[in-house]
Amino acid sequence: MKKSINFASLSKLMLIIAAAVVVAGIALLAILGGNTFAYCSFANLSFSLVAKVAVAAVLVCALVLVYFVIRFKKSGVMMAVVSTIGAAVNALVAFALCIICRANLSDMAFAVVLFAVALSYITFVLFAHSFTKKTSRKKAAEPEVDAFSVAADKVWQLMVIMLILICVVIVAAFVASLVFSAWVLALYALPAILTAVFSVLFTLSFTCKLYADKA
Amino acid sequence: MKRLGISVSLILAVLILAFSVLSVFGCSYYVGDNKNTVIKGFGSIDWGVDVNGGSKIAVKAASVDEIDAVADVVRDRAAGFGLTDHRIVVDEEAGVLELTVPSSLDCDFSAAEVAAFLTAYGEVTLRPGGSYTTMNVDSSDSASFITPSGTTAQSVLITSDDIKGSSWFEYTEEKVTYYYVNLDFDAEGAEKMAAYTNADTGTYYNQTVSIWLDDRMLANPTVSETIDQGALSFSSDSMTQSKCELYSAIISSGTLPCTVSIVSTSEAAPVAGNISDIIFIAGIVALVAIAVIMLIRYKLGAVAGLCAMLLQFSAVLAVITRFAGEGRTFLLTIPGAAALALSVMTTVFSFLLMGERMKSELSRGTVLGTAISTAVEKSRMIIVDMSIVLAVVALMGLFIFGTSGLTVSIFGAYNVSGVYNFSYVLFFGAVFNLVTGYLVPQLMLRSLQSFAKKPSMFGGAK
Repeated sequence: MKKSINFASLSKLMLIIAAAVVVAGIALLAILGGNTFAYCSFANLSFSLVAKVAVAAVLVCALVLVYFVIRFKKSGVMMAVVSTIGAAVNALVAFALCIICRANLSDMAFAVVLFAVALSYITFVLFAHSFTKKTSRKKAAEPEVDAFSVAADKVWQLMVIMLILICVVIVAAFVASLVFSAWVLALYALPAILTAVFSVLFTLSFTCKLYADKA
Repeated sequence: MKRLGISVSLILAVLILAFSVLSVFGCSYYVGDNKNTVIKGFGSIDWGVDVNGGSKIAVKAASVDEIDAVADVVRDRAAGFGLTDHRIVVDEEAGVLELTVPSSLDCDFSAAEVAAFLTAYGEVTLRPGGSYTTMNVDSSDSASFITPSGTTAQSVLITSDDIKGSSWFEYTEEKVTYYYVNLDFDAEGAEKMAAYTNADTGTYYNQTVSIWLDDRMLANPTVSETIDQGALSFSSDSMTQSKCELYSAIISSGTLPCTVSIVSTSEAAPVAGNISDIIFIAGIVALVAIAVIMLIRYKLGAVAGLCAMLLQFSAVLAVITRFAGEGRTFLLTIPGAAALALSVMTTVFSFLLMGERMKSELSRGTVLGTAISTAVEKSRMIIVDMSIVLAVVALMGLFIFGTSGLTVSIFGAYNVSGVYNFSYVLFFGAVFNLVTGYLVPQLMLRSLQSFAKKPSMFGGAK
């Protein structure tokens, strides 16, 4: 019999890891200062760029909320909130991982962040479907707490295959970068792989925990 | 769910393969030494600054306080020219703006010339005659006439103040295409133009006039009819599509708020050498590795996933190259290439959903047909939701960090090329995934079951 993971109990650990990574990233950038640790290609991170990021985040939240409410009715509100918080944390961790791995903070770092957001939403959609199916089918027999644990475990089994394939693609790009001596590009391989694994694990554990608390 | 004949799979596979070959390798033919490209392939892609480097120009504003306003006009011009990847760095204290334009730009002007045009003052004048001081040869091997002289220099009929906008169009006659720049005048400009060119009283009717952009003559046509519709169209022997696009983008954005002087010009190095080769080789290796893993896991069923993956890759690539469309391809950067990989992975994942469900049904002893039907039905809404949510995320990045006229007018012109590139490619990837991630695998799986009926051929137990 396959051993299942209790994702709800993992959430604390994942939150600690997320906080540690983000704090370490910010500290490295702030303490070492300038561009000595991770080179920042955006010489002028102006107010308009920060404002644009904020507008983008708000619009994404609003549209995802509308879509989830249409698709999942009442529970859609909570789903939208949970998925967006998860995506935001994953985005922060992805950026911090780029700093820690000393990858250039350029457009490519933004790509890693967006990759984390995309993966976070994919994982959540999968969980939402799996969970909705479980609760609607076994409402009487299975308490909700078990339903989302089972759902998360099912999603994890699928995501493991996906993560393996993602790692294959990233490793292929990493090896090609090394062969052509493109060191700058190769530096993104580790943060990208760590981001992928973290995004999936964090989204599942965080979602499980919030649903467990609600139940 | 109705079972389909094996012919469906065969037809789909052949069509997908043919489309993929066209999309990756393109299609072109030679007439003499001239290469005519009918369909653009991977080799035709215009790469961004991070992949192939670029040409950098630094200009200093005459008034330091105006440098932000100068940057806004330059961004507008770049957006109007469809320069989806460019870098603008502003040093507000020094009043210096630095613009980087990708080297591999498919344009009749070199990247350095495009950068110079985009940061030029941009004053349009219409003058009598067509006398010039010097003649140069530009990077497109065309003669360019510089600095007006004589009566042409002394008299100005129309200036940028009389022009409210510009566009371009093409006109084909006897298989020869001519490109025209169109100037739209405001009320005052239209009135002046009508008076100058009136067939009875106009001074310049049947006379040669010349149109200048700063000190460069764009054309010197002879007025053959009264221009009283508030617009003037002009062309010249050396006018091409990319030149028209550039001129109309500059004229539409108006002049800079102050004059600028060139501080320096240099070449910007790419992030690393051979990046387009790295992307190509990594892509091929990754596709082969994924194919092997899928074949081991789903046996014959993997064919459906592989066809879907191939179609997704080719379809997104076709959007990037603009396939059979005219003009430049999308300027692809490294984040754009990463989004291409993610788009393909989304389709692979969509197939995984079906494949894993099919395997689990087969392991429970369900018959093949039912297992496939269940897998297709259960994964349908997940694939739809996944694609829509990804498209929503990408759409926001596309709008907010983009360079199109609409985007710039709503959100301002501060663009981050990497985010825009990533979002552009991911958006199309997410939309195409509705077809490639669901429709293609389900049609092929339903068809393949008529060819092999054993569950073991689809990853089930023997």
